[in-house]
Amino acid sequence: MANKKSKDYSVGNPKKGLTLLAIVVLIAIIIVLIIIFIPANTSNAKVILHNVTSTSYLQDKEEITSYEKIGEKLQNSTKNYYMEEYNNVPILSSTIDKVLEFYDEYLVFAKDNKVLSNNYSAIKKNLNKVISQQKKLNNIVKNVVNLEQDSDSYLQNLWIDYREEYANWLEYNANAISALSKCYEGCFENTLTNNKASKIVLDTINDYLSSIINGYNNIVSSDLRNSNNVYTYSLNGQILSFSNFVEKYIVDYSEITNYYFNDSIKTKYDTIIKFYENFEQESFIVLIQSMDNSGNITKTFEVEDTEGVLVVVKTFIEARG
Amino acid sequence: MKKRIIFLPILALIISFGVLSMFACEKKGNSADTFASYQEMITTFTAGDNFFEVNNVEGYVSNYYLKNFDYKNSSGTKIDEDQNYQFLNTIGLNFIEKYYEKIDGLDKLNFSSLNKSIKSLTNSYEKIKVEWQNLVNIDSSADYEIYNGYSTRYKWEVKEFINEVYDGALTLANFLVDKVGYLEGIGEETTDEKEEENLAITPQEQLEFYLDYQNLLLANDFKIFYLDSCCGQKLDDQLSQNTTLNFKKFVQTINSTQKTLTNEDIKNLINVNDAFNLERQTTLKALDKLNFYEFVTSYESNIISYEKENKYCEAYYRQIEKYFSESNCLIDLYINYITTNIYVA
Repeated sequence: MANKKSKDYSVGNPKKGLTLLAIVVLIAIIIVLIIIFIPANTSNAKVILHNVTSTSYLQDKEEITSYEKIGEKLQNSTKNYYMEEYNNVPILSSTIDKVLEFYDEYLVFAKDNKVLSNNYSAIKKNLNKVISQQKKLNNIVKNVVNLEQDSDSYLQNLWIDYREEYANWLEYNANAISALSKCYEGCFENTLTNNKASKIVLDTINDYLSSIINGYNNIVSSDLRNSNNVYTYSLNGQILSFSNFVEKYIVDYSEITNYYFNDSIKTKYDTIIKFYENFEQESFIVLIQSMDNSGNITKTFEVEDTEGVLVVVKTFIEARG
Repeated sequence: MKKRIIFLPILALIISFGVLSMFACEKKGNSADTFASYQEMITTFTAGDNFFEVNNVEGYVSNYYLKNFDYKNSSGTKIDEDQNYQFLNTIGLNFIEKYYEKIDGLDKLNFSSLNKSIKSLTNSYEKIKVEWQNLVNIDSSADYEIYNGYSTRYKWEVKEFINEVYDGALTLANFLVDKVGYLEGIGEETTDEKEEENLAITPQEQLEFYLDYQNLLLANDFKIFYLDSCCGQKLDDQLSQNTTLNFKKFVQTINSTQKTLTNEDIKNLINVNDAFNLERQTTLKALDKLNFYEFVTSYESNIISYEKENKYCEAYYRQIEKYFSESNCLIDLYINYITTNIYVA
C-alpha cells in the first residue's frame, strides 16, 4: 500500500510540472498577443478607410483625362448610346467618395468596441477590394485609350468589361459603407450627431446603393459581349437623386445636427419612420427603384395615406425637402 | 544572497507603509478654513491690489476685468489685447465668486482638492501682479517694442492664471456636485416637504447652479481651444475668427435673465446638455490631437501639408469646425437653444 502511494506521488515529477507550466505560459502569451493585436486590427480599419478616401476613384487628374478619352471615343462611335451611362460614372463615384469621407471623419473617434470589431473585417476586406478594383478599372481604361483602330465592337466589348468591373467596385464600396453605417450607429455615442435622423439618412444611402447595384447587375447580365441584346439604361434618375441626397444630407448634414434642437425636423423624421408602420412590407428600395429618368418616384400605393406620410417620404428620398 | 532575500520584503513593507501613510495623513482640512481661504483670496482679488476692475463688456458684468491688458502699435497707440482672455477670466472668476460661499458650514468632507486649487490660484495671481506692476511702471514713456515686451510677459502670466482659474472653478463645481450632491434629483418632482428640506439647495438654486456649471464647461471648451490648441495666440484664420464670434455670442447670452422653467423644460435641458457633453468629449479629443497654432502658422492652414505630420488632421479639423465655428455649428445651435428656451430674450 505504502509503495503504491509512493508511486502515485511520483506522477507529479518535475518534468511533467515543467511541461504544464510551459503550456500555461504559452496560453498566457497567446492571450496577451490576442489582446494586443485585436485593437490594432480595428484601428487598421481607420487606416484603410483613410487611404481609400485619399485615393478616390476618378478624382486624380490623370484618371479623369483617361476616362474623358473613352467618352470621346464612345461619342464618335456607333455606340454613343452608352453616353448617359458613361456620364453617370463620375457622378456616382464622386458621390460614393463623399459618403466615405463622411465616415472617414468620424471613424477616428469611434469606440474600439464589439460593433467595430464585428464589422472591421467587412470594412477592411471590401475597401481592400475597392483599391484593387480601381487598378483593374484603370487598366481597362488604358486599353481603350490605346486602341489604335477605333473598332466599334471592340470598344463596346471594353465598355462592357469596364461596366462589369465597375459594378464590382460599386458592390465592394456598398458593402463597406453598410458596415460603416453599423459602426456609426454602434461606436459613436454622440446623440447630437448620432440620432434618428442620421440613422434614416445613412440607411437610405444603403438603400440607394442597393437599388443602383441591382440596376447595374441587370445591365451586366443583359448587355453581354458580342450579343445582340437590346440595351436599356434607366439609372440616370437614381444616380442624380443619390448625388443630390448625399449633398443635401451628408455634405450639408445640418438636418442631422439640428435634429436635437428643432421640433419640425424631429416631426419630419418621426413621420418618415411611420412609413414602415403604414406601408408594411415596403421599403425605400422599392421607391428608389421606381424613379424615372428625372428622379421622380413613380411608385403608387393602394393603401390610404391619411397622414401624408408618403409625400414626406418621397420628398425626403428625392432630396427635395 | 540570503541578506538580499530578507531585505526585499522589508523594503516593500516600508514603501507600502509610506504610501499608505501619505494617503492617511493627507490634510483633509475643514470647511471653515477653506471658506476663510476663499474669502481671503476673493477679497484680495476684488479690493486688495486694485489689479482687477469692474466692467461691463458685451453685457457681461464682472469684477475681474484685467487692467492694462493691452499692447502698443508702432505709433505708440495702446490697443486692447485679445478680448477672449478677458471673457475667459471673468467667467471663471465669477463662478468662483458666486459659489465659494457654499463651502461654509459643510462638515466631514475632504477639502484638500479645494485648498490645493486656492493655493495654486493665489500663487499664479502673485505672478501676474508682478508682471502687471512691471508694465505699469514703464507705461507712459516706453517705446512700443519695449512696452510690448513687458505686455507679452504680462499676457503669458495671464494665460497661466486663466488655466488656474478654470482648474479652481471646475474643482469647486465638481466638489459641489460630487461631494455635496448639488445636482441630485434635478428636474424631479419633490412632493414631500421633508425631502425638500433635506436637499442641499432649493430646486431654483439647483437649476441656477446647473446652468452656471454648464456655461463654465462651455467656457472651458473655448479656453482649451484658445489657450491650448491656439497656444494663446490670436490667429489669422477663418475657423478661430468664427469661434471668437461664437464666443462673444455666448458671453452676451449667459448674462441674460433665466426664464421660469417647468420640470419638463429642465429635463429637456438636461437631455440636450448630456448629448452636448458627449460631443464635447469627441471635440476635446480632436483638440488634443490637433495643434491649431502649428497648423495655421507652420502649415498655413493647409490640411494636405499637415496630413504628412498628422494623418487624421482633416477629421480632427472638421470636428473642431463642426463644434466651434461653421455656420450652425453645435455651439451655435446650443446658444440658440438656450436663448430661445432658457433665457429671457
